[in-house]
Amino acid sequence: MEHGTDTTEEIQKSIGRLFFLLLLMFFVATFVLWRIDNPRAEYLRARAFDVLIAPLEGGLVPIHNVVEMAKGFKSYQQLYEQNQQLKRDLKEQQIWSEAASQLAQQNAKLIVLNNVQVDPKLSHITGVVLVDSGSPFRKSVRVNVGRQDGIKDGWAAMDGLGLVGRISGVGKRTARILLLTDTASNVPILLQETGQRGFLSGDNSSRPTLEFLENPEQVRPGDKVVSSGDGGVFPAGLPIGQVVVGNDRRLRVILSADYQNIELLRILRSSAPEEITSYGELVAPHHESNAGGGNNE
Amino acid sequence: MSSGKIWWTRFVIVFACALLIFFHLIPTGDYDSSWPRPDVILCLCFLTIAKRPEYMPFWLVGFIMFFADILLGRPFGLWTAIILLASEVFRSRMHTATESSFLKEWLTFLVILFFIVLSYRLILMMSFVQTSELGYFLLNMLATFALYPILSVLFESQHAVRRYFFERDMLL
Repeated sequence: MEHGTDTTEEIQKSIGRLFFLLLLMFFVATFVLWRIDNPRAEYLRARAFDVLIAPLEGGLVPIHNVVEMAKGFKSYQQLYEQNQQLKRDLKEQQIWSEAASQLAQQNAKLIVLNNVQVDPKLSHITGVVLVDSGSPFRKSVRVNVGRQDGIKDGWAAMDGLGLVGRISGVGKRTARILLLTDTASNVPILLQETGQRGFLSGDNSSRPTLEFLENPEQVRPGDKVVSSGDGGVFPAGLPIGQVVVGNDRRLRVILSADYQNIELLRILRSSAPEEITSYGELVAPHHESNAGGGNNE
Repeated sequence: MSSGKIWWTRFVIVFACALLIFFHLIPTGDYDSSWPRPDVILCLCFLTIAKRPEYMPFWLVGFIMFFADILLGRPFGLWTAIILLASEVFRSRMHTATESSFLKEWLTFLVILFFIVLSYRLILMMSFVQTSELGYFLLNMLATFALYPILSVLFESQHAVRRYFFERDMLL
């Protein structure tokens, strides 16, 4: 009798061991698949977020607000000073807003005069940040717009002040934005003062580094950095930030975008750049039209 | 120990881990990585294995870690596979030893954590996956190590409270 229970226990144990090995192999296989077919795996991840996070959208915003309130309580003592400061600022702003509204009117008139159509490239979709990456090693956020809103991979995301990142991974209802500070982020940039081109590559710190500049010694702190549009992913000329020299003596960029407070992002619709498929037609007259001209004569 | 209680506790653990993941995901605007963040889920899993192994079978470890892998943007499966293996090693270390002291438990956790970090980074490096700087990763793992006794005390105190009430019930 006792012998019988022993064998069943042994069988159970070996089944458990087999199951353990199978599970281990399954996870290793998923890693290999993730490595080989990364886009598909990331697509599956985006689907998981669609299913798990998008339904929580209604709940996430209040939680976010509570967190913001808790942060606000910290500065409760300074609230009065802040209030006074804000009142002073508001007065100044009113002057500016008056000036701005006058300019807007003027602008509207000029647009009508010129009959200008605003470049559709410059239109945008606004997304609300739902969640961040949840890991200190990855800098990304997820917004509540996705494929059903026409979002595509590679589009630029900005807040009101500057470039924040680009779309990297689109689900049906959510999309992931890779921030400029992520280690995987490399953006072609242009230094406005010296006209040098280079790359802005994130290193998980709040100030990404400048790489591949032709003459780094010409660059001075305070130079303005904008996107160069090279590679055709981003539109050119989006403001990014200012050059500083980091503690490690490398050239870094203070980002203009307010990274401490990313809530609403505008995602710029950018179309793929027109490809030049043949040479010469831009300068020389078209060969066939030449031939046609010949026939007419 | 009834099987209903075991399943209920497992459910509570999974729910707690899901909650932890969602707290990670809430955009707090803290995108600056200056503070080490301990891996609470990892710590919780190992602590449960040390104290009450029946609540944390290997498949539950795999399930929780894979779920975290997907939602926290890690490469699929690798972290899960390593933790799965490490947790089984930890389990056998914990429950074949004759005498057990907390210090020994904690040091075993440290050694296993070291091997987890080593193998994870090595495999990522060998498969040419871009990784963040090692220093910060190590700092986080040290924070996880430091969290272990704190969670352990919480675990024990909860246990003591339950025992106190249980004994009082017996007396009454």
